[in-house]
Amino acid sequence: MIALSEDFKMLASQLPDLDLEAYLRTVEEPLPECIRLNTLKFREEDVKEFMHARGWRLEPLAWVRHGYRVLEAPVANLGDSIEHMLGLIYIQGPVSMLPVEVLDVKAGDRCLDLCAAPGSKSTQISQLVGLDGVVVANDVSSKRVKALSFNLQRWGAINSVVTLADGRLFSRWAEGLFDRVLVDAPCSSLGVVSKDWSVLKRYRLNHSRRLQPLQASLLESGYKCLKPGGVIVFSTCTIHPLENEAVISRFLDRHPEARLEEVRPQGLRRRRPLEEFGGERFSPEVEKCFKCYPYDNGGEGFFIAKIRRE
Amino acid sequence: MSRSNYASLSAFLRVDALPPQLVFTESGKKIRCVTHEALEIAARMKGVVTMGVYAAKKLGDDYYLSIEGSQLLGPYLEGGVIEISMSEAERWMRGAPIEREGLERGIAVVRMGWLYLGSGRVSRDGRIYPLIPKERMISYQGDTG
Repeated sequence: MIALSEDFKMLASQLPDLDLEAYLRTVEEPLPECIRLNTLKFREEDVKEFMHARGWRLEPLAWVRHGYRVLEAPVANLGDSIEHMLGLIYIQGPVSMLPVEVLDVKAGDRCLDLCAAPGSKSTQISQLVGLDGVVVANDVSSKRVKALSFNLQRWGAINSVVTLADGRLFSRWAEGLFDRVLVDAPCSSLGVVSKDWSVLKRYRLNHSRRLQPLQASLLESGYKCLKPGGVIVFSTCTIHPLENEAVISRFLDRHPEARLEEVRPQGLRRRRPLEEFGGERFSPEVEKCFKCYPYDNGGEGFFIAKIRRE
Repeated sequence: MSRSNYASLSAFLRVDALPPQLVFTESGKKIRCVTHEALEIAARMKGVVTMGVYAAKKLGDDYYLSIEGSQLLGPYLEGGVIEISMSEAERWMRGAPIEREGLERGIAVVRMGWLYLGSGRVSRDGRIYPLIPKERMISYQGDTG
């Protein structure tokens, strides 16, 4: 039985589209095992052939290039496989691969991952930009930067730069420099509870209230780092509208020149973002964002907004 | 720093055949491999921790290549590459030495077809001992194929 804080129960009662029973049933189960194949160091066909010979059975994910669901593996723990240790694969949640796909990265792009640790999305970007592009993977925590560097090393990301800096200040030295920026913002993590049930017991509304201005500042800073015509993706793995719809709606109010683009991934169920929450009415544009609860796709709950700088 | 500065490393490599985007940088005994574009962007960043990947380390008169270094540079090595089987690769990745006859002492790079698995030290007893960090080793006793 998963313990819930009073604040989480309150939130669940305020979300008109949340089926709490289905939510709890889903997060009680582990996330489906999914991986991405490394096309930066290897040829995808070689990796697939090698893994097939070793007893892996994989099923492609429709919404992400190089992403697969693991149907069978030669090891009980994927993190203890040769494939993982040699950087042939990256173990990652199925929906967590979507923000980089939405970012629409092209070979040769200059990309910034503003809140990058532990590096799953940075490794994904690095394989898409190729040797003529670059990914700057930044994080504010020195402890988390170690994990970030380790994962980029294992991935063979020779096209990466790891920086340790407050993402809110990044635009001071990187204004207008990047084609693509990802802000996978720190959040209350209510969409990835399968990894840690205690999130629901510890959750307080104040977490979301404290995180919201930080998320807004990171989005602002990341937006300034874009070249004209560039794209920024803001994502969280939470279901709280204060950290999702409200952040985007207020950003659009401040930036009438910014253009929100539709996020309609193939093969994933999405739900309509809320039009209002807690007395705050959101911009109708927010409807273009992607939102899902964990039980929608048997994976993580996510919110994703794609904004183009005109 | 240009790769042409690495006279000693280039003695081990057919450097002219390397992809043109690659640059080597040196810090102490460690050599990193990074792309020109990443190097250029890094110069404009604050708080840079690392660039590219750790590719090689000087060990006496030899270089040994990291797992990533071996994957990047292995195809351009002049010699010293040992082909191993899947079952040997499983043992290698658990930190166990592999045996070959007639090897000279020094550093050898190990590969299984197109997949390079880092370097090892060839000892007096003819075994190659893996020089891979513990956090990259596997612990399971699965099917050795």
